[in-house]
Amino acid sequence: MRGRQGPTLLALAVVLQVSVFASLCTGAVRMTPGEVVRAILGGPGAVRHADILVAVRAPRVALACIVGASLAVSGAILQGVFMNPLADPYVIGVSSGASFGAVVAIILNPRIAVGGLSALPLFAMAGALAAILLVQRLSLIGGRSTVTGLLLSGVAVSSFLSAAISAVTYVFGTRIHQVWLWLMGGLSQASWDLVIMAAPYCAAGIACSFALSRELNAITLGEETAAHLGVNVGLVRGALVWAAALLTASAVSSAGLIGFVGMVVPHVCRMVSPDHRFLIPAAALAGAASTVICDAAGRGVAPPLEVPVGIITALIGGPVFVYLLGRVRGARAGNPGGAVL
Amino acid sequence: MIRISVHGVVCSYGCVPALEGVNFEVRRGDFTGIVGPNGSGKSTLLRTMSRVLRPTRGAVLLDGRDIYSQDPASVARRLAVVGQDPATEFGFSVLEVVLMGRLPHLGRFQRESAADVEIARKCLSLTGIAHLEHRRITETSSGERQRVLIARALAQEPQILLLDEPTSFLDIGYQADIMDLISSLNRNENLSVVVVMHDLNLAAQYCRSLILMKGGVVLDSGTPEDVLTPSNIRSAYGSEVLVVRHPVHARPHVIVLPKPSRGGDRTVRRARGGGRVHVVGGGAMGARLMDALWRNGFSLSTGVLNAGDGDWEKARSLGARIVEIPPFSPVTDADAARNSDLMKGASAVVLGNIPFGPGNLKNLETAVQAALSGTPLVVVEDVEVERRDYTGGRASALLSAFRERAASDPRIRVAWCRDDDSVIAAVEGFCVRAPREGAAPGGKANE
Repeated sequence: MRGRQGPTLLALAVVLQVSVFASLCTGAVRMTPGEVVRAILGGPGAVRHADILVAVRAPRVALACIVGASLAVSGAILQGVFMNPLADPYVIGVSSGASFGAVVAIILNPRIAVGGLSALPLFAMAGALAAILLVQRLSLIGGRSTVTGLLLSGVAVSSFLSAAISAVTYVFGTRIHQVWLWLMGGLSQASWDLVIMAAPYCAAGIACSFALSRELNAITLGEETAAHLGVNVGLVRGALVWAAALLTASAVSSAGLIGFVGMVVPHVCRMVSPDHRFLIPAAALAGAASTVICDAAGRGVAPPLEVPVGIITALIGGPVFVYLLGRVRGARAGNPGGAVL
Repeated sequence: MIRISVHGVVCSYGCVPALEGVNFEVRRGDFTGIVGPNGSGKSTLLRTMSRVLRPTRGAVLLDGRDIYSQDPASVARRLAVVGQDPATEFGFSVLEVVLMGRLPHLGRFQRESAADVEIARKCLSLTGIAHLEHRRITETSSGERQRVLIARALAQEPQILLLDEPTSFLDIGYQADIMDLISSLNRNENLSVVVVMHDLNLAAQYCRSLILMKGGVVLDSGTPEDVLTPSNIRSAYGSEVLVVRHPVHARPHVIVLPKPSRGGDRTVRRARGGGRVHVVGGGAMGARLMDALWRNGFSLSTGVLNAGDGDWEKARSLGARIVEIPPFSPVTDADAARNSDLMKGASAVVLGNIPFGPGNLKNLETAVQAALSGTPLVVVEDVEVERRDYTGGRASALLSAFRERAASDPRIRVAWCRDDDSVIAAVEGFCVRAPREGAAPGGKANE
């Protein structure tokens, strides 16, 4: 399995580059690949296209990469930490926590900043962290997180937070328009400002989780086993949960709720190897590529109409989720741990 | 050299106490089993020793220092744990799982080197699963996975190995395999082993010392022979057992008896305490009878028996007092005298349906003497004595002379029986009026 890791990463990098390029070509204004290359290289007669590329498409593609990578790596971390291959920031309510935090920030004032950082992702992170800890607490049945327990707690926490978002929005009606615009989500609001806002969180979260990937491997064998192997489980787990919250916040505060990328991408990458030293970078690349492709598909399917990226990921991810749930249940039926589902 | 010492460890889950002051030590090269009923704190004890569960009071010292004050990776380089398999969902290959055992030896961003892979492969072949190297852990059987877990623990290159019920969920073939493996690691790799075990017989067979736990305290500890006694097991498990010698390795072997509540012939009616019966047996002819007497509430003595024979085994397991002599040696006058003393203190003597030869003729003589001096005698003669007499007629002659004497002398109390039930009935009849142990024989019995 080790031998397949390098080539897979390389292939994913190539796929990402191709999809980025294809996405740059796609949109309301048709551009041929040649025109895009010329616009990038700054050839004569390409000024109009260069504007579109630099001001509209490039930040959008960059943001799609950040959002996709953040969600996928966040999902990989949560699956590992919960020892549960169906965990995902969207399904278990962490994204809802982040969006509740973000809505609160918007209602307070979207322009406030803490130490030069926009408040939005900070609030989103706080919300995500609170949701993770809550779900973790709720899902523990007999000391171990079960798929059922996790999904049910996720549903409960999500719907509670959705109601809370509606309530907050309703009570503070003056900012209802901004909240509504933000809740629409998607990548249509993409700008270099958003990219700059989200990128540090994404980078920090991925770096942190990559640094702890070996310990995360041990944790997937059980927390006690990890402790027996000399891992400081409390510290590592805490840091990883923070990283997952950071990544979810980065994605949610810049693009709203986008589902299933966080679950499907790491799950598929794990079929190559469950080693997180491979899985974290692979999920980042594959998450970025798949989000860029879904966004391009949304723009390209019926221009000038745009289908939001979240709808495309849900249309593809929903059925895949059901398929994977069946597979996990089937696999569990064959071992003594089957009782947990 | 003491590797681990557990000092007055008290531990509880919430408000439920699990350990209430446990002390013991693990020395270099030890092979210690922790046994005890469910909920006695065995696994909790192991968890406190493996730096997972901090004791509320007391301390666990690893190489003289509190294990919780030491760096976790440094502990993991000396002490490895094979826990109960949590059946992971993540499809690591067997080699990858075993390589995780190298984690405590690696620096933060260090990848496993070729040397680490070498060590992991060595551990795979030590545990006999080299061929599974590329198999996904999720696709292995329980027995294979147990070996993988042991291999991973060995990859830590520890000096101490703690195992929590390594043989549960395994069939008997795998159980023996795993225990043989651990035993050979203990001998050849000089590993100190502490193993929590459910199966007392497996524990007795493999462990050099045992710790018997009950209700969070150590009930007894020592060699398997010292710890696995019927009374210890009764107080730990509340079960009546026989402890016999294993026919091959001679370690104690525990056999559970049915509970008294079931009634009927198979029950153990200990409560009646019906006095002591001395059985004259030999070979394995008296074993069934001793068992029947014991189940009917009599304590037993027997002799003279050759050590190692079937009745001797049985008598030991039932806690009988035995006059014993070395295997295949004849009964001397001194032995006969000791036997006679034991008979005279008994409520009754049962003369088994045994063959008589020059070696054990003295047993017959002693029994007849005891009967003549007033001790009740039950003679089992399923087969006539003539057909089991290898003394050239001396045994038959002695017994017929005694039969004539008994018929005319009312002071001699004797019963002639053909089966176990009538033996029990006869013994019970004698015991109603017979003296208890310690009372002077003779006079009263002859009333």
